[in-house]
Amino acid sequence: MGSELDDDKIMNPVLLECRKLTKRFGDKLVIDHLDLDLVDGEILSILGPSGCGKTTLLRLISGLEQPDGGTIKLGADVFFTDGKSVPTNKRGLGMVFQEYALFPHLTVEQNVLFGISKLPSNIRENRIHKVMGMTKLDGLESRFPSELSGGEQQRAALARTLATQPSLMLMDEPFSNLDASLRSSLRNEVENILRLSEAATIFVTHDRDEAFSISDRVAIMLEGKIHQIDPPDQIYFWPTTKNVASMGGICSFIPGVISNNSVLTSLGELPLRVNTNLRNGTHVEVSIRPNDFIMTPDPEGTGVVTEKEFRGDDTLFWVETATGETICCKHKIRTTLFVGLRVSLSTDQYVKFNVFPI
Amino acid sequence: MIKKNPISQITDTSNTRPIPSVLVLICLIVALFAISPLVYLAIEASQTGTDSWVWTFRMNTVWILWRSIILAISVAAGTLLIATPIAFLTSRTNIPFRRFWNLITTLPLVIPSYVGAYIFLSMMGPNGLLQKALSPITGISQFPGLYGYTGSLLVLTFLNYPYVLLTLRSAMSQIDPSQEESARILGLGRINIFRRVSIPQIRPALLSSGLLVALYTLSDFGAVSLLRYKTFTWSIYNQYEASFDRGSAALLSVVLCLIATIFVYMESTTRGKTSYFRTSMGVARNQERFDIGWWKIPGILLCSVVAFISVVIPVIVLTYWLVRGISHGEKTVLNPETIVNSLLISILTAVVVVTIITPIAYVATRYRNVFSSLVEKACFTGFALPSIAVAISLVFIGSYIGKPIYQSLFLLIFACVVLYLPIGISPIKSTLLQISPRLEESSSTLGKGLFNTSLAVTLPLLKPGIAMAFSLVFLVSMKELPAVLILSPLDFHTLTTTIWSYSSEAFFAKAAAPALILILVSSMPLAIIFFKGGFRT
Repeated sequence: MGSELDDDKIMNPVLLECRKLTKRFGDKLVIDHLDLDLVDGEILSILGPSGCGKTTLLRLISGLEQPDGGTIKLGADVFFTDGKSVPTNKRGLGMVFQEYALFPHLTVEQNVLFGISKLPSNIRENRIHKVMGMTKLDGLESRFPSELSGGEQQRAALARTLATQPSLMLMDEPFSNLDASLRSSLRNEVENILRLSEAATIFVTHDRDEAFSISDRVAIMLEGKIHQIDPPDQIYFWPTTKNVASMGGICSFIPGVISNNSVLTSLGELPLRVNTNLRNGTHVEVSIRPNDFIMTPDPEGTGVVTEKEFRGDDTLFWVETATGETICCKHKIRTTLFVGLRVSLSTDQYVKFNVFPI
Repeated sequence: MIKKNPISQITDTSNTRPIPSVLVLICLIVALFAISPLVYLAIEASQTGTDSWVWTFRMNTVWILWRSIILAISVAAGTLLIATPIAFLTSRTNIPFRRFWNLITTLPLVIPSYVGAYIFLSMMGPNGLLQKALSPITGISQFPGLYGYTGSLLVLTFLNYPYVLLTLRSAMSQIDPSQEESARILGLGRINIFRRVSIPQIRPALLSSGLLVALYTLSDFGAVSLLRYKTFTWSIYNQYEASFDRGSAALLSVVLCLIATIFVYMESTTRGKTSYFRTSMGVARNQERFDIGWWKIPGILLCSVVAFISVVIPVIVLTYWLVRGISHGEKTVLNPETIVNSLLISILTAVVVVTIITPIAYVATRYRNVFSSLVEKACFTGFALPSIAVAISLVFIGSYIGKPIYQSLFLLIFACVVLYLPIGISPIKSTLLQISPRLEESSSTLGKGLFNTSLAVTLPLLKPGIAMAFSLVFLVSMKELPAVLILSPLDFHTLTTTIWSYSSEAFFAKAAAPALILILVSSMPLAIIFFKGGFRT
C-alpha cells in the first residue's frame, strides 16, 4: 500500500475497462469521455472535489445510471455499449453506499443474507460465517440496523456486499458519515477486510488522506475527467498538472524560469525533480509543498509571516516573499513565531521541485 | 424502526434510468381509466342538441352557479373561522387536554354530510326536536329560514372544519422553532413574532385548506339536497332523475367540473408554496408552547362548544331517534345486507386504489419526468370531479357498453376508484419519499430485479403508507352517496342509500340505526390513523 505497484500486479489482467464514458445531466457534462482501467485485485481511489462526477462514475459502472455514450467492460462481459445495458442486478458488482443503505426492516444477518438467498444453505452458512468474522460482527446477527453504531453499520454494509463475493467492489464515500475520530481506525479496518477478500475496489472520496492511505492507485478526477492515475506517492511527488498538485496536498505556486536543470525563482535557484524537456527560458510555475522550505526568524530575512494556522501536530505559516508571492511552510515544533515576523527561507539539497509550464 | 433520512438525501429520490416497461404500461392503463369519466362527459356534452344548451344556460343556471359559489365561499370562511383558533390553541399553547381536543375535533370527519343534514333537519326543521321542546315556552311553532342556505352553511361548516384544522395544525407544528428564535434574537416581541414570522408561514396552509373545503362544498350533494338548497349537484341529480334530458345533466356536470378545476388549480398553486416551512438542515427542536394564562378558559370554552355541536349533538340526536324508534316499535332492525354491501364497496375500492396507485406513486417519486408527472396529474382528475359528475359519466359509459357492465358493481367501484385515487396517492408518495432510493439500489446491486426488490424492500417499508392510504380510502368510500345512488345495481342497498332514502322522507327514526353503524364503522380506520400518529390530509 502507498507504494509503487508490485510487478505481479502490473501483470494482472485488466478487470474493468471504461472507454469514452460520457454522461450529461441536462446541459451539464458530468462525465466527459472518461477512460479508466482497473487491474484485478487492486484498490483504486477516485479523489476529487464534490461535483467532479466521481459518484456519478460509480453509478454508471454499477448501472444505476445510464451513460450517454462510451463502453463499460468487466473482464469479458460488456456492461454497456451503444445504448445496450446490462441491468444492475445482473452485473454482479458490490456497492457500499455513503449512507450504507442497510435495510431497516431486516436484521444484520438478514441483510447479509439478502444477496445470497438463492445459494444452497451450506454455502450460505459458510459465507455468512466468513464475512461476519471478517467484519467482526459476530454476536450482532439479530440486531436491527438502527441498533448499530455508525462503525458497525458500515461494517454490516461491507459484510452484506462481500457475502456475494463480487468481482468488483464500489464504495461511495464510505467514511463520510462517521466521526473524525472513528474514521481513521475504520479506514485501516476496511482496508484489511478488502485485502483479505481480495476484491478489486473502486473507492470514491474527497478526502486526500483517505485516498492516500487506503489505495494502490489514486485517480485524480476533475470536471468529469481523470487527470492522473498513479500510486499515491507519485500523485504527491510527481503530479503532472497544477490541479493534480493542488489535489495531492497543500501547494503554493511561484513563478520561475527554466535554466538548465533547475528553475530560477525569487527564492533562488531550485533543482528540478524530473528532467523536463522544457527549453531554457521557459516561464513556469513552481509548486512548493509546506515541507520544502525551512523558515528561521531573521530580522534581515526577505519573508514576512502573514498568517498562521495552528493544527495540533504542526503549525502552518503563510510567508510573503520579497516579490509578493505567498508560500506555505510547515513547522513541527511548538514555536513562538508570530504574524508579522521577518523570516528567511532555505531549502536543503535533497528537496526537488515540480514545474508546470504556464 | 424506519430511520428518517437526512433532508439532503430525500430530495435526491429520482434517477435518469428509463422507466421499466411494465411500469409504463401500468401507468398508461391507470391514467386512461382515471381520465375516462371526464373525457366521456365532455363527449356527451358536446353531442347534446342546442335545446339542452339553451336550457342549461338560461337564467336559472346562473342562479344555481351563484348559489353554489356563495355557499362554497361562506363554508370555507366559516371553517377557517372555527379551525384557526382551535389549531393554534391545540398546537402552540399549553391548553389542558390537548390530545383529547385533537382527537375529538377530528371526529366530524366520519359524519357524512347527509347524516349531518338529517340530524340538523330532525332538530331544527318543522316539527323538529328543538321546536317541540321550545314551543311550550316560547310559543313559536316554526323556526324560520333554517332550511336552504343557513342550514347548509351550518351543517357543512361544522362537518368540514376538521379538514382545515388538520392542515393548519400540521403547518403550525412544522414551523421551525429556530426561525421564531431568530426573530426573538433580532428583538421582536411575541405578538410581532406571531404576526411577522408565524402567520406568513401558515398563510399558504390557510388558503389551500380553505379552497379544499370550498371544493368539497361545491361537490357536496347529500346535505344540500336534504336541505333543499339548490346547487349544481342538486340540479344535476334532478336532471338525471327526470331523465328525459341526459345532455343537460352532462352539460351541467361539465360546468361544475370546470369550476372545480379552477378551485383545484388555485389550491395547488397555493400549496406549492407551503414547502418552505422548514428550510434549515438538522433536527428540528420542539416548539415553545405559549403560556396563555387565563385565556385557557375561553380557549377550553371554544373547543368545548365546537366539539359539542359537531360531535356530541349528532351522537345524542341519533341515539334519541334510535331509542325512540325502538320504543315505538318501529322496524328499526337493520338489514345486515346493507352493512355487508357498504363494507364490500369500501374494501373493494380501497384494495383497488391501493393496488393501482402504489406503482404510480413509485414512478412519480423515483422517475421524475414529463411522463410521470402527466400520469400523476391524470390520477388527480378525480379530485376535481364531483362524485355526481363521475357517476353521471359512468352511466353513459355503462349504457354505451351495455349489458355485462351496466347496472353491475363494476361501474360503482370504477367510480369510487376514480374519485379516491388522489386520496390514496398522497400517503403512499410521502412514505416513498422517506424511503431512500439507495435501499432499492442496494437491492439491485445485490442481484435482485425490480419485482424482487419491490417484494423484499420497497413494499415492507411502504406498509405504513399503504395502511394509511387504505384507511383513508375506506373511510371516504364508506360515506360516498351520489355514486352509490346512481350506479348501484337494482336492489343493491347500502348503509348510505338506506340513510338517504329514509331521511329524505323524514323517517328519522328509521335512519338512525344505519347512520350510527356507518359512523361507527368509518371511525375504525380513523382511530387507526389517529393513534398511529401521522395525520395529514
